Amino acid sequence: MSVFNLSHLLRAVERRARRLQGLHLAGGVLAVASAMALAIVAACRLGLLPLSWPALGGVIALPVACALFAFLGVRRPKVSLPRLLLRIDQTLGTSERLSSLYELRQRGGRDVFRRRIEQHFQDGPLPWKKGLPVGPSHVGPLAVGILLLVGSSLLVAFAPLPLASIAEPLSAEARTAGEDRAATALPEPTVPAFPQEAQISSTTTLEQADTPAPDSFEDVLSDIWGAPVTGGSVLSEGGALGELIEEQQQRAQALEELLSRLEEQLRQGQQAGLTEDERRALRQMLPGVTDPQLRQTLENLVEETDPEALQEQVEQALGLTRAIARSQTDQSAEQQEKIRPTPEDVRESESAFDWTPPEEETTADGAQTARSATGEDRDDGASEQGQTGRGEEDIDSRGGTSGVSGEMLPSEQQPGFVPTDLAARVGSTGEFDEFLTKGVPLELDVAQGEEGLYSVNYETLRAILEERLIPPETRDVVKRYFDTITQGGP
Amino acid sequence: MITDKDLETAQATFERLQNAIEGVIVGHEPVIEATLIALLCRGNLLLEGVPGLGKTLLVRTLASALDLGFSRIQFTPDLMPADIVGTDIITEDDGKRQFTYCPGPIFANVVLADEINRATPKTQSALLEAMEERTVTVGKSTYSLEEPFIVLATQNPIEMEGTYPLPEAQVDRFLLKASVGYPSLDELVRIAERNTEADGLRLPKPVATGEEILAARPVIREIPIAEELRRYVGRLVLATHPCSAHATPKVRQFVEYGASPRAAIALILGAKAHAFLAGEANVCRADIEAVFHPALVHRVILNFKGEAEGIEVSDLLAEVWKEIAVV
Repeated sequence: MSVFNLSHLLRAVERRARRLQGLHLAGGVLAVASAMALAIVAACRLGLLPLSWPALGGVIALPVACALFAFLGVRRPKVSLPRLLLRIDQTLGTSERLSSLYELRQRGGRDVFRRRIEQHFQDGPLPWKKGLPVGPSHVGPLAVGILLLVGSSLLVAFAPLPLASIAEPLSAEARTAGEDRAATALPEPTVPAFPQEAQISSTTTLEQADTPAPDSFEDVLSDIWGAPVTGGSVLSEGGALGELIEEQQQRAQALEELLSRLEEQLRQGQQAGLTEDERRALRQMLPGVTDPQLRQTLENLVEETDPEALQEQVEQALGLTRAIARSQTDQSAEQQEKIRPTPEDVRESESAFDWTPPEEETTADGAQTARSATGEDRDDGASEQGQTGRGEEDIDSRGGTSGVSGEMLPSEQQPGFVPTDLAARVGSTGEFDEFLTKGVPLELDVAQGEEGLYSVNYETLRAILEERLIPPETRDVVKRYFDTITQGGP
Repeated sequence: MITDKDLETAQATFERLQNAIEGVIVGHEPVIEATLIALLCRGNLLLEGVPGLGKTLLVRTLASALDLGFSRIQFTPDLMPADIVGTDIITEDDGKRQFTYCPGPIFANVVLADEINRATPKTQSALLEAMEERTVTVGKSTYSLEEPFIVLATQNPIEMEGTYPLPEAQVDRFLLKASVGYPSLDELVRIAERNTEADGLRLPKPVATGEEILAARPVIREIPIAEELRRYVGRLVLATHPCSAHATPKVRQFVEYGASPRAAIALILGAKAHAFLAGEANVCRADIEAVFHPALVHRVILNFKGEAEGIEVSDLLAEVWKEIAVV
């Protein structure tokens, strides 16, 4: 016969009740914190929130820490023992004996009744835990929290990495995702694929381009620069293209280092041929090599077994690599300079439009000079231009090239914008008829009975992209941008 | 301080009493139990039922089983209060006349107020002081009633002709109200057998004294009831009030006045007595359930709508019991 110990039971009941309270609280905290972690991870995955790997790990670990703190550290309200005991009585069918014993204990005395009640509990241990079970209200939030946390972890572990949080080349998945986003934001292009359509000019009226949907422009620009564009449409030089160029340079540098090391080893006779690791490393580098000659040389190098021929090919590959690297460095440095037209370019443009330098004074037939039309009287000129003027302002604000003002004031300059001179033609009554900016593959045509029509010169576009070493996979995005601004967008 | 012996003695006394009553009365166990509870709790009992169901016999049996004074008052429409409580009369002693108080039939230990609702409310009210304060005031003098004192009133259903509804104040003074129903076939056969064979029905000999009854009363008050059960009783009582947050929809719709605080006292004391009679050492929910209906049924007053629609207080109480959770 066991001795019934009410004090021991009360302590155990209170402990369990407090644990259940803590479990409930921790489950709620875990669920909320895990939901927030999942949102953060998802935002990071979508590229909305740049976070490093350690930060992502912290985001995953934080809900667990919060839940542990809630379970262990938070001071919980005092449990109501009479209520708990009554619940246990009700569950076990003990005719409220536990509650009555507690009542007797609280009031003192009356041993007659206490002894009689305790006799009912002498037969064996009381399964009082059945009265305080771990129910759905305790486990539910905890399970939800764990599921959300596992989801967040899986998202971190298996989902494609965001562009902002890694330093690897743009993966195929990410590129596909980016292009898909642009495709959903834009209508199906009416122009054929880029390589075959060099001779075809897709034209549209300037009025159509006058009211493009802002979202589609932003999407396209986001794809190009790898960062969301806000209402001001300030294009950052530190965008994806810059990163890609930098990555190409890094790859070239890595290849150069590998080849230098091979050349050194072969020259010193340390090895007769390539090791398996070296071959594997070269094969891994092959997809990133865009120069066909270098690529062919490297492919031969990987297959070569003759030491002399091998040394020759290594030297050849090294020479090509260094030449390409120099070319890239020079082009990168000159990239911004090339955007600004040289005086020769301006003159070329002027001659192309059969444009005569403007005079300082108003001509006899009332036509204004280019300076007066694009300088202090810019607003007046723009208001008189009608539709053409509006079109210029739109391109100016989005394309980053001033189509109206040939001399941008310092206060008007924005980061990433390069002031450029404008080759334009002013009509006899002072209208601003035509303009052409350097580095933009747009042409203004005037057809019979039509307003000014802008078209994309795909030949020029391709030349510019190749000149700037834009990767082939990114060119389509750039092309779509120009399609969009000439067709007015979706 | 209650000892084991006190408890055992009290339980033995009421066991004998219960057996003696059940030896005469066939069936009606809940009514017998309610009678003993009222006796234990220093309360009064209202027995309701149509004539001929053994209400009066039950009271006579109880009085016979107890070695106590018994009086029976047959309430009639012309019964006056003085006929119950007594009056001052002129007496002559050695040629000197003086008023002398002549006690009425209320001065007994067990008073049977038979068909109490046949008297006018004025006469019914003559019982008020005696039932609650255990005193009787005549003129300028107040007389105490001897303990144990219990009023056992019988009444016919209110729908019967020639009856007056009891005033609410008087109804509230009855600890419990027990309804005496028709016996079953077996019970009826046994009743007929006891009354038609041998010497006929014999009332029991006394099996308990007044002192034993009085000694048992403090014992039941010591029986523990859990704090949460007391709160539960409070919620049950409040649930009969139409303006209470605990009230059920039907109570809000059909009840004019809910049960008074006396109902809560009656519930707890009655539950304790029920546990005592069951041989238990503490009160459980089943004990409260046993006295819930008899303790509240006469204390809930329907409003006009409830009366007009024929709502039964018993149904309302059943709903309250079902709706109010113990935890």
